[in-house]
Amino acid sequence: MKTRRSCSSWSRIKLPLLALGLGLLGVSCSSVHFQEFYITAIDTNEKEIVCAVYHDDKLVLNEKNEPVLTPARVKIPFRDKEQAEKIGVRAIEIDPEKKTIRGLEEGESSPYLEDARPVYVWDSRRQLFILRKNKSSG
Amino acid sequence: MSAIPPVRISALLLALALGGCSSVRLIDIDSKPAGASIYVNGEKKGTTRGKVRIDFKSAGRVMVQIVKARYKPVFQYWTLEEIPDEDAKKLFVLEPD
Repeated sequence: MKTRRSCSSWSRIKLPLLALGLGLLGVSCSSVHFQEFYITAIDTNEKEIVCAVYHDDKLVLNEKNEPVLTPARVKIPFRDKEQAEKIGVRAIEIDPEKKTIRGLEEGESSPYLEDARPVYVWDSRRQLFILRKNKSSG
Repeated sequence: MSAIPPVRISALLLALALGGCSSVRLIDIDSKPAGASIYVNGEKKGTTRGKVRIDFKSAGRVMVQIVKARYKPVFQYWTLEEIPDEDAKKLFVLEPD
């Protein structure tokens, strides 16, 4: 009888304990550290240029679902602190109303060659990209 | 012969200890051709040939970028371990673009 009671109390706490353990495991595995970087771009004449920012080859968008343009502060998620995240920039041309007109679409030529590099969580918060002219661009 | 006061000995030992593990390097940066801009962690620090003071304490590695018009920009990552001498020299050879 005593054994049965202890067994039943164990089975009562077994599931919540299991759920708690799995929950903690999930939290520890999915913990993402965000690091903010200030991303700027210049050309070889040291003139500031406007670029769209890419993270892991994907365009970074702001809360309005618009491309984030340099100079910009971008929060990069680091799943693993020992692993680098790829940050890149691609120059674009903008009209006076700040609407992107050239360089953003796939296959569309950009006035400058795009650039990307692996960035670690402990790297400098300031990431400067120096872009070369795209000589094949019209 | 007069003895050295213990305070002076302590100060000397402290200075030696601090100097021995300094994270600051004064690096003489040159380029071929000269007159290129030096950027350290995204901030302009001068032109070649020039001495740049870099403190490795705040960052694991420091990014040094060299840029000159009509030449391909170059960059290197430096860590404190890679620059053991407090007065180091670095040369960047630039390729025409």
